[in-house]
Amino acid sequence: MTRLFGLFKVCMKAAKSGQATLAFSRRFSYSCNSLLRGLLLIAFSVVLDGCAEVQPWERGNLAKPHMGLQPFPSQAALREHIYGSRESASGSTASSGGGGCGCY
Amino acid sequence: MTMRSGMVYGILLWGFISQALADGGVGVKAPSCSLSKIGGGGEKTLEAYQGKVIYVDFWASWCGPCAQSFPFMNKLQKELGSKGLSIVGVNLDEKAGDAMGFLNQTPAHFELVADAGGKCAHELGVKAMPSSYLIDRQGVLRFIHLGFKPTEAQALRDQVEALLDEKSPVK
Repeated sequence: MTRLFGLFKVCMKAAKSGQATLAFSRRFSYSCNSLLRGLLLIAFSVVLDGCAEVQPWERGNLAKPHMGLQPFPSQAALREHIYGSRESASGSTASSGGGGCGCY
Repeated sequence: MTMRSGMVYGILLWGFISQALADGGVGVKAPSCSLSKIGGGGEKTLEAYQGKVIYVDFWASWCGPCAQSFPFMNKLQKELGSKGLSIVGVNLDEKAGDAMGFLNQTPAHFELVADAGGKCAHELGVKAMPSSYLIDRQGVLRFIHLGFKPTEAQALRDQVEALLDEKSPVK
């Protein structure tokens, strides 16, 4: 942590003294890169902490019907069936007036 | 391979190994698990069934296959209860009311308990709903079943009967 803080000071100093334009000068880029890496690591570990696995027994709310992607599952299934049978037969869209299989 | 990457690989390997060991569980002593009545109170552990074959079933009201498994478990308890089988249905609903509503629709003729906070489910590493765990008379976890399929019911029953036929622990 103290190392990080030290790097932060070096970085800020370099930025203030106008060295920011010399971003590729060796010392500056080295220290600032490791500072950035350190900060990213901290941010990453903080964010990762928010990712908790939802256990199988905690899926009660997810199992509710209104959590489904389709609001009307049976209607969607029917439409999909009709669309699929036309599509695969004629290779055209369902609105092109009849499928090649003679089903409609 | 530098020393540093060696260390990283070592830690990863250890993680996988310990995970695999934690997941196994079959053949070792089952955790005692602190359970309660549905709605709270009446603390109980699996040690209370010592000497019996325990069929621990984890279920919840929102789980379809759980409802399918109830008639099977009712039948099993009725027919094999006298031989020393104890079926323990562990409810994992967040609200006790949901469990009660489910039980009105799907009667259960075996012991029902609740696992508040899923502690027991954690200890046994439940991976699916429903999950059933067969524990023999010595308290050793013997079989794990994920989910319930009517086609697998007979095999499950055979396993239970085999465990019942093993000789009782010498005291």
